[in-house]
Amino acid sequence: MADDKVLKEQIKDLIIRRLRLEISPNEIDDNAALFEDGLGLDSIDALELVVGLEQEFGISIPDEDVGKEAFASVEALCSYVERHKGK
Amino acid sequence: MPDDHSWSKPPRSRAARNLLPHGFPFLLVDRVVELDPGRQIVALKRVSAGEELSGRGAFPHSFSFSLIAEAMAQAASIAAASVSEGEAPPSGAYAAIKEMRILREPRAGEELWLKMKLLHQFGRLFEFRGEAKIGGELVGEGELILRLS
Repeated sequence: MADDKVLKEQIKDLIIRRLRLEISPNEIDDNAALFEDGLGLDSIDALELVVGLEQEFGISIPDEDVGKEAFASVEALCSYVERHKGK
Repeated sequence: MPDDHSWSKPPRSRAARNLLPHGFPFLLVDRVVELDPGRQIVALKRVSAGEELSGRGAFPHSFSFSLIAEAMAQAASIAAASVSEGEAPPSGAYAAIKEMRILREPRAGEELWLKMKLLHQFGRLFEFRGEAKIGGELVGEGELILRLS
């Protein structure tokens, strides 16, 4: 559970840093949508996150369908990263 | 500029240029010199005094700063769209300029060499980095994102 919390903080840090958001990590709800009504991210932000995940976690998001699943929320993104780590 | 190419493909000038929906006077790629489909491109724009869009920059008969960025995007769009084999090829539109540095305006009679390389792709978004040169002189460089539709 501790590892899960650390990973969520890393993911939130990546989102804030890569997208230059002027918010703190605790303002991002683990289960809130990252796009549209949630954090309000758009497709260009998605590309930036895809690049960030590749460079910082060594994890690829191969297409938009996978992206929709992975970028549903911080919770979903953590789950995706955990499932694909080291593959 | 052609002396530092690390790839070599037969020029597909006319066919590749047809991947752009633009027409005169907004077609800013005259020739595709090198093309590695989906990955990188070298293209050429000859700046003439008679162009409809010249003379609107800082100097008469010069090619305005914003048109250099547009020419770079058009070259990148050809590279991105060139992997498509359909009868109606997709066309690229600016989604974002991440960074762009334009150093001077090309003048009538000068050749603008555009070299663009794909950095990342996700879905219909293509991020390119590239440069514009006149002879060996860098006149523009930057990163841009295109959306193919």
